[in-house]
Amino acid sequence: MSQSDDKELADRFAAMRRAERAAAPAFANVRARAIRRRSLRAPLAIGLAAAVAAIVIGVLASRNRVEQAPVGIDLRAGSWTGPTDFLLDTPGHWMLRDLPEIASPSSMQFDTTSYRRTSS
Amino acid sequence: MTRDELLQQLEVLHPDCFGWAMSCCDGDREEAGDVLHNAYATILDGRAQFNGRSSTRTWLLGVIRMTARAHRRRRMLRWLRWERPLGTTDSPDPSPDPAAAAEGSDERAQLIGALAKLPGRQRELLHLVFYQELSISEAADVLAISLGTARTHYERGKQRLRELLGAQRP
Repeated sequence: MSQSDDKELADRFAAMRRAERAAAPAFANVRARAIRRRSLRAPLAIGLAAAVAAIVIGVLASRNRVEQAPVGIDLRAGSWTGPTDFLLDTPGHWMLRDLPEIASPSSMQFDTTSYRRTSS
Repeated sequence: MTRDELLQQLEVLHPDCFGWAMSCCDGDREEAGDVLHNAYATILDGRAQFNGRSSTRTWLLGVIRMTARAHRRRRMLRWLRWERPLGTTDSPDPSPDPAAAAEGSDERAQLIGALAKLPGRQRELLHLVFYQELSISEAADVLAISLGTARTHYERGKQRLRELLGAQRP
């Protein structure tokens, strides 16, 4: 590519540059818009951070409350039978639960007359 | 660089920045304005900081390019989520504002049309070299590519643009 080709391209770009420079928005406007956006950014960030902090604190507080609350179950109110309780029922288990009764001596009647000595 | 110095530089470079924003936004004047104001806000916020490794101009053009890409990504996401009003078109509005249109010539329209047909990287390089009058090395810095890659895109882009402009000529 020759130097004249480059020159032609450069001239075309220079013409475009002149036209766009003339149409460019004023620097002051763009800068003011950027500063306005920047000034909005800080309060927005602070507000967002505060909202997030409030949510986190709320969640943590509610979680602590749940953990510290006493368990509201009255164990006397009902009976509970375990599903494997039947395994404890061994043969003759009733004997272990009931104490055998011994009759009172007065109610005992022994037939002393019929006692015989069988051996000398 | 102090904040006042930075603002002064921004003011001096503002017209060129607008031209670059227009190029990054495919000639969409409204979008270019949004991108430019976002880029200035990024700089004034301190989110983009000049580290002195390149010229202020190169750094500024790089910030505008990145802002334009982020802006385009956001717009694409909005489009995917159907947040755009019905009836809007995806293609950028190539028509300049009335004042610019009055000043625009056929040659300028031809150049814009031919540039639109080039791949993005070639278009960006030609803009940076011919419009912004940067060296190929500086343009490579702005585009964050190697000098060799920039040279290749520059030569190919120039050749293709020349062909397109020749084909448009009556």
